[in-house]
Amino acid sequence: MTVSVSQSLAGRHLLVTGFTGFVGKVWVAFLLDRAPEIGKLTLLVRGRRDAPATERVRRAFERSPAMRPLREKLGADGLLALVREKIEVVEGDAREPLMGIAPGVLAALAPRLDAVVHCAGLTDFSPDPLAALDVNVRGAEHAADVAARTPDRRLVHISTCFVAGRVDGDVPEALVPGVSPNGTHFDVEAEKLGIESVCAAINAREGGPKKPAARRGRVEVGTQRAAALGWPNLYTWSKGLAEHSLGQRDDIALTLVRPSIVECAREFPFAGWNEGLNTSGPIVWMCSGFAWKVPMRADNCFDVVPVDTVARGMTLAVADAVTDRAAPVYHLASGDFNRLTFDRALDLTALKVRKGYVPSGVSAAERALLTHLDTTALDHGADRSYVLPVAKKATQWLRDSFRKFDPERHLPASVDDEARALWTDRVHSASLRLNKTSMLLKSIEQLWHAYQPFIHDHDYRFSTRRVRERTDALSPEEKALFGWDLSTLDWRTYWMDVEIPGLDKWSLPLLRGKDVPDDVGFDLGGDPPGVSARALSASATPSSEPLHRSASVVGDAE
Amino acid sequence: MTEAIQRAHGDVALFRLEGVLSPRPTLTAAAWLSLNARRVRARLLGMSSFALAGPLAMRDPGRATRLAWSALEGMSEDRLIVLGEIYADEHLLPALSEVGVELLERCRGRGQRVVLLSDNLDVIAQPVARHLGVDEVLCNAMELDDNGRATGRLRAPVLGPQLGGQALKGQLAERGVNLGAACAYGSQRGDSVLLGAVALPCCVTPDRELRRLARDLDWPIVEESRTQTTRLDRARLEGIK
Repeated sequence: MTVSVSQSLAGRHLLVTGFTGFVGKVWVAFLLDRAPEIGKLTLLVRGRRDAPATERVRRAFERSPAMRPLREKLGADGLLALVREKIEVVEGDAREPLMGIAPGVLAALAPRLDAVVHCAGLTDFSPDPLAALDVNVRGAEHAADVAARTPDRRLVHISTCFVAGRVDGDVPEALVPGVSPNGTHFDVEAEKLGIESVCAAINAREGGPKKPAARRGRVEVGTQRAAALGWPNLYTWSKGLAEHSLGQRDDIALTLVRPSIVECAREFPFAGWNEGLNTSGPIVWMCSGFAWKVPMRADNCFDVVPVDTVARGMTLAVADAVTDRAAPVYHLASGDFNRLTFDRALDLTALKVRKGYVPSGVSAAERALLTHLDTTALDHGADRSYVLPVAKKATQWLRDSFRKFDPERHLPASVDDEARALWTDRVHSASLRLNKTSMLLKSIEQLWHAYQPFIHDHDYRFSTRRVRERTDALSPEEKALFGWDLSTLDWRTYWMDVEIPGLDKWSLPLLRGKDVPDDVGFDLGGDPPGVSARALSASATPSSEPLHRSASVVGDAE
Repeated sequence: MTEAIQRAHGDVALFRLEGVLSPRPTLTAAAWLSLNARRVRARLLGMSSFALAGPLAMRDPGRATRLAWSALEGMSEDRLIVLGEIYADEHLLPALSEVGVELLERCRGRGQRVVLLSDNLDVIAQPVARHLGVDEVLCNAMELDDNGRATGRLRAPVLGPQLGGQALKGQLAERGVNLGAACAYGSQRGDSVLLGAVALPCCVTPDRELRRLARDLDWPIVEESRTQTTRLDRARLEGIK
């Protein structure tokens, strides 16, 4: 039977968190572009000191490259009309109870909602465990609390495939609440209390929570606890705890959507678009440079999914959820049907360098060398790597030696003052360069350690049966609009013509400390998206709660 | 008049890539590809194979070609395709023979179906064919294993340096090409069988042995520098031009 996505979404009202993040923004733009039948999207956005929530949303519609197709298709007037009709903004904070939505606003909003789609979260691999608990675990629980107040109690929670933890092989689309990846039975509340009490002790020992040693201690303890339960890092641990917490609730209809590594857009908003620093950016940066051998297992799966393919999968899952046909878990991954191995990704990166792509800031001689230096995978983990530690020590030793340079002691007395000053300058600048190199090598070493579980230790194969079956049931027209399209993805074309140029333009400048400019866009005029929110606020009678709450500080970059 | 000329030339024109359109022999491509293998060990192996294949090419061109291609064993399909494009872009296209291209364009202008023949790999011949806008390509392809890696052997049927064998005739027949009513352009001794089988053979800057044969059999010869074309050849080429 053909089940129409457009019909499923027609007239539906969704509350979406994490709009200002990569996935959230693309999904909202995708939905407005391809499913204009959608009733309304209420975006829950944090306010900042310099920009309230409505201003952040307005800026995204005006300037974000994610909205480029809408701007080009509709023009300023058309986009403003669409935003006024379809978008509401509610200021809130996922860390706070009921996501910080003012009671009056929530009372008016909740009865009209068909589902809550929770995209907000921290994506840092090694966050402060307390922040990860607040944002990723409690944020999800607060989203569930809001969903529980809606008529149909539907929550679509965007998680990650890597909650599977330290396992190998096939990973089914399933969740067994209360059982960790290594089979340990645990209680989410006890986990939260445990980590918080240990962190409190560390804070007291180190003289306050803001001391660097305290943060290091918290991360270390959190990572150890994650490892004890079978999760490779704090990110997957916190996302896993959130899933288990939600999975044990019986007051919501839960749908878990688990993307794998979300990468550059294939076609929407346009080929190559990316936002922020992501997983493969640093890998591509290193492998297109002078990293000759990298600690990866060549045949392991590099489970990359373009962000617009994730948007397609999310749309299918949400369409299922709002019609009460949803499966409990949807994987949005590539490894089970169109597998990209690390070896192939490295080969394609090297070939891109052959075809003329060389990172900026590289001299002609380095360019000539780079085009003939093909990175290959070295099948042992970062722990057994000897090149980086030796290079780091050698650089540090040289740097320290240069720092100790004393012209009075190390230069002969015959050297005149001018030459002495010149030597001092040169040695000083060399020591600065060596210091920079030493820090870079340290960062690379830390990066390989952080990535090791995913690029070396484990080979995952996430089942994507549900989105594929759902796609098979679509009409040809809807398949083109919403269908899971990874089977038609040619990795060579994608990696060389989309991914690497996309990273180079949108992500790697951030690694080099540069900004990525927004589009020029246009001004949406006096009435920003908040106009609808004001209408919502007005309808929240008899409440006189202010719509915009005070700004808070939580990352929302899923 | 045009129809009469076309009838005289047949509706298909066969062009040999090596020699007629490009001065670079197939072995050079094999050597370049193997020198650009991913690992240094494979590059060294490629150099050794090429060192053996070079002298062998004089005595047994077929075996030399097989030896040269065998150096690509283990190379990924991605690498073959991308390096093939780079080789075509950087080494073949900038050095295309002017007279060869001009002849090809005239054939296309007459409405003839142009078929490019090459004993090179498809990853190299296809980009050239796209650039020239030919209708079809008959060339070799590397055999790949289940992991998409080259086995070092060519996929059957193999087109050898000696064009015109049963393999080529069979493939042309499958494509509805009647050699008895086609024209062909060659430049090497190895093309003589093909040239002998078509209605209108033409030698383009031929090597010594093909030139001797062309004179014996009264085949037209077109030189890169047209001043060398004989009066007889000019007369014979009137139809082509």
